[in-house]
Amino acid sequence: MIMAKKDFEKRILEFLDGSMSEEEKKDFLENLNQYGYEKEEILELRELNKDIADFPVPEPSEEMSQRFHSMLEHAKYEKQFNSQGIQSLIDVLAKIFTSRIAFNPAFFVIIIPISIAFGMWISSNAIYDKKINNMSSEITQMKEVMMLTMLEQPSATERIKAVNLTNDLNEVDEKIIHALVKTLNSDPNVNVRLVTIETLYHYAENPIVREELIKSIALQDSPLIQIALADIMVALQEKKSIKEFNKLLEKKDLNDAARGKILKTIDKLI
Amino acid sequence: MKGISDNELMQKVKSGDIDKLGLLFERHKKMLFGYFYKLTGSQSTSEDLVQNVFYKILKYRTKFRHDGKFLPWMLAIAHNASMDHFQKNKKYALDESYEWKTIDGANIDEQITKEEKLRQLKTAMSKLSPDKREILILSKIHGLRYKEIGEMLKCTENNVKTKVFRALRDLKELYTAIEN
Repeated sequence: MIMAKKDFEKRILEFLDGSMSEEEKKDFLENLNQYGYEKEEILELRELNKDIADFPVPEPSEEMSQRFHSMLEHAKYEKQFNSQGIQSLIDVLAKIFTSRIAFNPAFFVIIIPISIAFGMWISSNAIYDKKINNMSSEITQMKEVMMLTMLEQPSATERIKAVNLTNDLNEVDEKIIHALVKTLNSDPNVNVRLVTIETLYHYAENPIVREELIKSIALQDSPLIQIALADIMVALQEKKSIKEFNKLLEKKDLNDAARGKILKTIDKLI
Repeated sequence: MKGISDNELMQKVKSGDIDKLGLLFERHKKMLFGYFYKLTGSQSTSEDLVQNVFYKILKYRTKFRHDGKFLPWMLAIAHNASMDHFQKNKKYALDESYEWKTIDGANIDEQITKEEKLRQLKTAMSKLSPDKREILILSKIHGLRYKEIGEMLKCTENNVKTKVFRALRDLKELYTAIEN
């Protein structure tokens, strides 16, 4: 019985993958001509199929594993850092309430007044809020310090993580903006600069950030960055950027793709 | 050590034991690197993309379904990462610096012939569109079924088989043209 050509193509694939029995193979090769295929052609396809599977691939470098493990360590640290405060309180309470002491009547004589006092203390909103505010401002400060330190690291991955840390901050101060702008204009790695553009874009409501993004256009040599900045200027509808883009267009060595993108961007902004 | 399955490890990562991601990385880093290397031809780009995939696995770990399979899920993330890469770089051909490793265990003549053949195959591969190149590479990943490739690429198993066959046929045509 003759099957549809499309179904036969699937049979060919089974032959190429070596998933046919000897009898099926024999039968398949005998019936090839009915579907307009030559045996030689199919055997060549099988050879090619095998060559793709055998493509030689080098070993990934040791640095790839190191980068992954440093990312994992960082994630573990962050996770621990975020949950440590609440978790340690829960741990202490769990230890107390599951210990032998919890079954001693004297324990209740002590714990009840402590609980009442703790309840009164916690319900005092002003003190509580102040403590929470102090704590979150300390965390923010620590994150800021961590971010600024990581930005100085020689590894590009570490610097990308540093820039991404900014996304966890509720507000960014001038110091952080200055650090991000410096990274955008002077980091040697394109990926780091691309991540920095995305991050700065989140703060584009801030006039200083907007102004720095515009100023950065003429300073960039990489077409990827020039194109990313062009996209952002269109998203922000920032007409002031046209002057900077024109400066780029004057450069003779400007990449063709970037030139095309800039011309389109100017058109959209006018 | 294959005592604990990928899915069980990923469930542990999902529930907060992120250390287990290290085991998944060790199990799959070579295969994933190979997938990206065959697609892009660049060692550094492939290493960056592997890092990117594991970063996303960590970030979106809670999205891993209880009944899901880790390998197709990871490769779906890898597929998106490679598509983003090609889109951002607007460069679909293999890297010019793509170098073929010397084939061990063959005499010099066989080695030269084989290397020449592989070089021609590389040129033919670079002329294929990225989606065809990718489906051929995916179909050669050990343990990945056509059905799972279909789930990744959002098409049926039969459709995947047809696509693989046609990509192979196109590759053969390109290869023959280069050979002659």
